[in-house]
Amino acid sequence: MIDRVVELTESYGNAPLHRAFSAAPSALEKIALDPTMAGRTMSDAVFLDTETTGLSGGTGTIPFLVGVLWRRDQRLHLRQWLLHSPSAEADLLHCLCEVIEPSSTLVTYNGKAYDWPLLQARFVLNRVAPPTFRPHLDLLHCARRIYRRRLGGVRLVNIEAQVLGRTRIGDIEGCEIPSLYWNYLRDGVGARLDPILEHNQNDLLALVAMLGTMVDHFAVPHRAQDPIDQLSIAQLAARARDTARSLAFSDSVLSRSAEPTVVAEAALLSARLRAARGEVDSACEALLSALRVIEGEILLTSQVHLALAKLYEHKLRQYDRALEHGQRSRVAEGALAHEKRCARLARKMSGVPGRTTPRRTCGT
Amino acid sequence: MREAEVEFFLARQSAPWARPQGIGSVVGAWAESKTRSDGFTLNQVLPPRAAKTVALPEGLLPGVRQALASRGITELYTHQRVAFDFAVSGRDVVVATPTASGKSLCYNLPVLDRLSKMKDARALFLFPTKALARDQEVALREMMDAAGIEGAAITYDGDTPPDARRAARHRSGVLLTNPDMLHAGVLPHHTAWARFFANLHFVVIDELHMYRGIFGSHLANVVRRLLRVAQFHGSAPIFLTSSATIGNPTEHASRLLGREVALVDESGAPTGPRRVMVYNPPIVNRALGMRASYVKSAVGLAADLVRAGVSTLVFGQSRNQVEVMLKYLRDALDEAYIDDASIQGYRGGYLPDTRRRIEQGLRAGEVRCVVATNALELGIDIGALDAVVCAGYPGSLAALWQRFGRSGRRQEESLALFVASSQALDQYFAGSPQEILDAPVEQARIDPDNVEILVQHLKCAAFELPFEEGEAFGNVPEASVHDALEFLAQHQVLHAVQGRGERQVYHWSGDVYPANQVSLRNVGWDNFAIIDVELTKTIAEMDFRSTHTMLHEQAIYQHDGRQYQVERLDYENHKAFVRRVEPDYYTTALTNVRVSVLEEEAHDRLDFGNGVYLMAGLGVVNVVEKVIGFKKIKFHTHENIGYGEVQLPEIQKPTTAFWLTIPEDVLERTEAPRAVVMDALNGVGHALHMMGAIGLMTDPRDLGRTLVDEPAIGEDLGRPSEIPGVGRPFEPTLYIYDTVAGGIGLAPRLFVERRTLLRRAGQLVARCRCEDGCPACIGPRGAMSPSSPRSFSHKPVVLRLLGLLGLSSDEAPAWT
Repeated sequence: MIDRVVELTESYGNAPLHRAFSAAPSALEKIALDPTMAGRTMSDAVFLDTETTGLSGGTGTIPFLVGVLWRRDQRLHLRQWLLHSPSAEADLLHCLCEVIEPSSTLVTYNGKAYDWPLLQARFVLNRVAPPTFRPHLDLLHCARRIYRRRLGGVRLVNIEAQVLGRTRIGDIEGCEIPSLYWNYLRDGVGARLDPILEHNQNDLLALVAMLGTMVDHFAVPHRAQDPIDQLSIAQLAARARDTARSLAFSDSVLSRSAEPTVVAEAALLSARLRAARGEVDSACEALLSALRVIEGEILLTSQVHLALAKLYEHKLRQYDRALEHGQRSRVAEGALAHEKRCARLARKMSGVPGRTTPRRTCGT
Repeated sequence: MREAEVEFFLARQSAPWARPQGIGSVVGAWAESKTRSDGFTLNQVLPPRAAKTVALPEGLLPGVRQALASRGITELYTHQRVAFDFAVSGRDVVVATPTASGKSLCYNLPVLDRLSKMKDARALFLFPTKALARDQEVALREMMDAAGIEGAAITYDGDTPPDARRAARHRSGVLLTNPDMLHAGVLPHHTAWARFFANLHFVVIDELHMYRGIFGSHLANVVRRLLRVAQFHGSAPIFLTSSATIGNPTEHASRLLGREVALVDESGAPTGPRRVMVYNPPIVNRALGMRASYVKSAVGLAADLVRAGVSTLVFGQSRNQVEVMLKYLRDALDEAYIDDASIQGYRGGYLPDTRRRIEQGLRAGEVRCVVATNALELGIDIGALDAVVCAGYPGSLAALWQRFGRSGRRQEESLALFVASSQALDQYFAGSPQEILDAPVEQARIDPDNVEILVQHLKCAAFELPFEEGEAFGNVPEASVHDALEFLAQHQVLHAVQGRGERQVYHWSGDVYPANQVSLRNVGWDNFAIIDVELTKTIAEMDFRSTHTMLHEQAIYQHDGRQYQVERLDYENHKAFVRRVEPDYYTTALTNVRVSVLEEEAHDRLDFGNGVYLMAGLGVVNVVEKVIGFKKIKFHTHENIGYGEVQLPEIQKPTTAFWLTIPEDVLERTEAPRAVVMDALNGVGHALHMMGAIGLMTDPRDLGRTLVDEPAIGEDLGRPSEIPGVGRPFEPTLYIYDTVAGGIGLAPRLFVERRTLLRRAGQLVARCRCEDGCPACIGPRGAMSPSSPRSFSHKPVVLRLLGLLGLSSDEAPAWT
């Protein structure tokens, strides 16, 4: 067992560690998109990361190093258990259970798919009672929702370099880890494992730092954020039914210069949310302002015109404006639907009341 | 209408264009036909058997009784009751009764009974193919629903979507899967199946006879692993197994399960009378011993049956042949205004949907004739058929009876007809047809303790649960297990640590997943997709090995009676692109086989007096098969109308072989040109191969053979005296090897029986009346190499060669 204490005032990369623990439960619930997180704070959470003898899973894969981290007062306590022999696994699991049991939440990176099922298998195999159920915050899924659009991939090293501003030097490759452990078991040279222990400690601190950064990014839009991340957060907030936040972030995207696709998506999202709240005029404004930025992008402008045409026709009943936009939405909706729409709008403009004509299609 | 008029109309129903219907009329017509009647060498009716029934077991819950009643079952056949009683008393059972005797109820009923009484009880069903599992899933689910049993019956295989997999782990009362999935997908993750294994009451293994050779030896080890995992989770399941007719069901089941098994083999199911007939096509060329095509004969006889309204199943030897017969049959029946759709092909490569449709058509009576490969040999339910026509000997009597068993009604007479090809085994049984009725059926053999296989599964088992010192593995004794574990630990595959109580514990110590590296079948399931380039649609799939001979570029691929030409074979991505064509030929691949000895295990000098001797050997060899080209064969006439070349990677496999090396001076004493002598040796090889297959009661395709008559280019012989020009010339060697990679013990038995084998082969050739070789003895003349002088007769050279060895007597030696 290896214990280490880290002051809460320290940072990992450019991210202060304390931020993760000041997160409001409501924000965590939304970032996680998980109702079981409601009311949880990180002050009694356990961060967990394991190193294993294989990556393919199955009962023959042993988690030979288990690292946990929790906060007590103004300090972070980091504890690692190393299996000096596979036969000591049951003891390790008992110790792990003792740490997890009093905690409210488990925080991991890809732990829902990997670390936790693997540990569950170990509990069964060693006939040790597993800890009772508690919410599990898997930061991989959160990071995917917020950063994937910008970064492409969300491996922990990507996030560290691009979000936390830290590049590990001499970090061990994941594929080298299993053989180092088996060599250690054969010759007992403990120093072999130092890089793995360090790697695991870094992973745990990175988890804390990342969560703090995500919470910070999610709080309010600010200039330092990339517009792409802001759009991702706006979409995440919309999924969490946090309309105010979603609008704040999408409007922030619209106020900045960004790529046309990002602008168009932000405008469409903003307009959808505003229209749902009955603010149709401002919905139209958002779309119209986007049109000026995305000029020349045929598909995008067509999509925005289509959204405008629908708003003008169904919400504002301004058929002339609707037709004006409708005529430019062919690419987005396809020729057939486009012709129908234009014909219908022309009819409505000519004053024939819609309801007296026989309805041929739904949703006229 | 007056009475006379009514009679007139009734009489008119047998209009001139109407044919007499039914098996009786067809058999009668054959007997009267001059061209046909001579061909039948056997025509015997096996007597019908009456049903023997007993009451349902008393303990069954009303729900289960109701489920049975809904299927019309109010009493059991005696064997079903015996199996049930064994199962509930905790005995492992093997049911070996004929096809269509209601075998599945033997295992379904005890399972239903248990599930109806214990909510948490679980059962595992293993089937050799995915199709069979899906088939049984439907039937079982209906019964479970009718019996009001809550747990689901779920098929778990490679095609099961992720959501259903989760459901299978948590909710399935009955899990239906195949050995491969159990081996690689379930056992290595047994902790996720903890509830399933903790409550496992029954393991059902259907089609036990399929698990022979390598596959069976693997399954026996998977069973050992299964029991080990079950024991860990606290259960001790009972095995309920069923098998088609084999010679040794009890022994086979005990070997497979590693424990005593109770046999149930007296069927109480009724059968109508069955007429068994053997047809040997007439000789058309006496000099070459050539007979009329058995394929065309089978098609003709089957067409007679279909025209008479007899539902008929035709079995072919290969996928290609099935397609040829399908085309011929459709052509022949076109004239009788019988729709193409009512005659269907059925074989492995057909997509599951197509197969389902054909099965349904058969049951509904819309399909009147099916031409099938052995894919239909297995217990897929297609309802009762009137007649089975088996074109060519399927390799074993067990398989022949399995096919025959596909016909049969409870009441009326059914027909089982075997049409002999000109191959030696076919001719053997056509000549002594009584053997078909009387000879003992082949035995299924496995070797669960084959070291190579055992070690692979010990690795998988160690991955699943660490081994403790003193632990046995199934019926492998502790000491052997200990040695193997130590060996694996030395190679750092396992890691031994001191466990509790000073015992060594062996942990898996690799970062790979061992089950992925162990394939239970030598044929991979890694199929090639066959894509129609015009429809850009996948029309079929084919397994890796068949690809080489059936999907090489320019091959004519036949599917559903239509022909496609392979335009491109994307070997890397496992795709073949084909285009619909209408050629007047089909293709067959030419395969070149080379054998090199890796390790000699035994040898023996066979002396025949006068300084004449042969060297016999046994050992591990490397067999390299390469498709080098193909022949174009014209439809209907079967003429050879061209050749083509093929560029494909070779397939290598290590296996065991028996070989005979013929010394140079023996060759010289035949006083014939070397090319002729080589052809003669090939002929001897043909005879040895056939007699070996008969002697071992095995399928000839389980044995491969080749004559190595020159050193391979660049091959290091390691025996300088045999390199041409250096000392003695190269001495030709005949190899007969196990076609299954790794070997299943056939070659060693040939080595033991080497003298009898040689005498039997000599007798076969001496007795055969052909003048210059025929398929029944030394192979047809057409098979001789083109370099050999045409003017030379080969058979006399073979006889001279055998004479030198004192083997030309036609006295039959007995097998020991």
